[in-house]
Amino acid sequence: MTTLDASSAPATAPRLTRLLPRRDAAATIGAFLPLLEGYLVRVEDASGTLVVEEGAAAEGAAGGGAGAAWRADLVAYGATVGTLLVSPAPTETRAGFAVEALRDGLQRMLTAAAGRRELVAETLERYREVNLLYRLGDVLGGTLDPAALPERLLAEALRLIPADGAALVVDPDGDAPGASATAGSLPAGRLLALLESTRTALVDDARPAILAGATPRDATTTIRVWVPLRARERTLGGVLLTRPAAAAIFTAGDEKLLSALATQGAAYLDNARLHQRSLAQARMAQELQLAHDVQARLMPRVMPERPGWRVAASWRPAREVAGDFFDATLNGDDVAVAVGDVADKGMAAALFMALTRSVLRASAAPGRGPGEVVARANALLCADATDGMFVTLAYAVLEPGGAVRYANAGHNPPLLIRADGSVERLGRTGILVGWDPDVEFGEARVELAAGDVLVLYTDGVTEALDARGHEYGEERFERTAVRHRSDGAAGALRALLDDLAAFVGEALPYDDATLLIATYEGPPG
Amino acid sequence: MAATMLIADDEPHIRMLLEQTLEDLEDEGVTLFVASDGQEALDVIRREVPTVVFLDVMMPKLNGFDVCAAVKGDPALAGVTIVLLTAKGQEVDRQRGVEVGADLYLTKPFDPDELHATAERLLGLA
Repeated sequence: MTTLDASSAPATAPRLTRLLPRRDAAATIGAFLPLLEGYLVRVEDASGTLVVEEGAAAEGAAGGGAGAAWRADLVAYGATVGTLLVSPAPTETRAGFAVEALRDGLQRMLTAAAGRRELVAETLERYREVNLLYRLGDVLGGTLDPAALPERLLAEALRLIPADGAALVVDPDGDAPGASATAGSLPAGRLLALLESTRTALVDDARPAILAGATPRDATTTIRVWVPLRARERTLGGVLLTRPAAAAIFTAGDEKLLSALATQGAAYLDNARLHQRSLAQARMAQELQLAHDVQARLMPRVMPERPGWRVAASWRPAREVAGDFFDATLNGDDVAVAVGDVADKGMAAALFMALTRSVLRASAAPGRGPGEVVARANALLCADATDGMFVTLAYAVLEPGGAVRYANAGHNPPLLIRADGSVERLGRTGILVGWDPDVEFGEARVELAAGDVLVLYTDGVTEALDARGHEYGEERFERTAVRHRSDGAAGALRALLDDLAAFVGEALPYDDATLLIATYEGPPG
Repeated sequence: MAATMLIADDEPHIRMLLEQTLEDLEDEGVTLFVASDGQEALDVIRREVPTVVFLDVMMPKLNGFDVCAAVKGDPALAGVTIVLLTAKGQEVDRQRGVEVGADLYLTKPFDPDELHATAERLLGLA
């Protein structure tokens, strides 16, 4: 028997009437009857069943006996699907030509019908594939959960291709491969070996035995088909189907079907993973934005006012959250201002910044000097076991008469710009905060006159880089501050920020930048 | 009583696809009829009272909805199960099918295996 591709034609020829309907056969024979007067024409199918009978044998003819009839096989799909019988066997030339022509005509009809059926079978196969894609779209597209997809994919594979055992392996990072979904019984120790394969494998353990002429299968052999799940040139895992040795082998058609399923499934898996990643990123971005908003609210939006003093400040995180902060509060008749810089970045620094700001406020009290405030804050922060985190602080108390008492805990020295343009730096009075609970913090005092300006800042201002990697620098910062010392607190702040922005240009900030300016306008009244 | 089945579709190639998908049911004793328009389908249904009708919606003379409504409105044809063949994505057809009493729907391009399984089930062969 001729073997045909199962996808385009049946493995066995269909019966004659499906290729040659009775009425078509009768009509064709009828057209030849005038040339076959006195002959009985019959068509039988492969089993000998009469399909059509036309005409009549002449009186005295030998009848339908086997020896007396002319016979011709009708062939389709490489097999005899029927027989044309003419009795008695024609002896005259004209009738002989007629039966040959009739046979040729019926055979052509059969061949054409077989061709049509192959086209129909091919179309039905495409229908199957289209429906598979639709179905996969419904089944797999219904979820973007990468954990739910393996089960669904495997169930779909088993619906299409019956198997005794099945596994879907997803190996996202290559370090912990394992089956994400399994069904039925599976041969032990197969999965890892199969994972190494990135190509489709149709394996019959029994094949070597068959080739060697041995018993085809025994209890220890299995047959299996393995198809990798690949998306964007990467192997995500694979699908394994197994059958026991005694079962029917997987066909090339099964493999093709499973490959189609795996191709779609891998795309859905990949999409689901990308979606999850994108969700996680969006969630993280949202949380960071919330953290930013919370942090921003920790800093005063309205500056405290006391006669003689004007305060303005700016806080610009390099990322969503910052380790920098500033504060400005009323402390009795005084204004307390602070600028701090946690020596780290990211969420941990942001949390420590929030803690420092709160502790600093809690440590302040009317009449308490800056050194004592910073010392109390230091003790509290160290007691909270901040695990190696620390902060530099500039803390100043601005008194109504122009006196400024300050503590500088390891921070960039604030600038005191006199009305005449001369500059003094308010040096350190202690080490950074959060390092040593027992360290002492000193304080110092300066007197400001009308027109003098106090500038507190973090190193993110003076160390800001432009696109070419050049540093803004203390010199330019100081020069700009001096140039705008008479612009008032808000004006000087704006001028410094503008100059900094002009210098940095499109370069992305790598550090937080915080600036606080206090101007003294002279004693009240 | 031997089961009978009617395939009604005006497109010859769709009829061929349906016939070839369902032809092996003839081996189970099912008689298969075909019709190429709605009027012919209704005539066959009234004459043969088939167990199952696969009925295309868009057909000349009488469309599938009209045929279905006529069948469902005729007590003599109460045992006829009608499967409407609707185009994928034409959900409005499905709604109309509900209104005229269709028993089932299959969308074109149909899944041959699903079509076959549906026919077997409705004919009591499954």
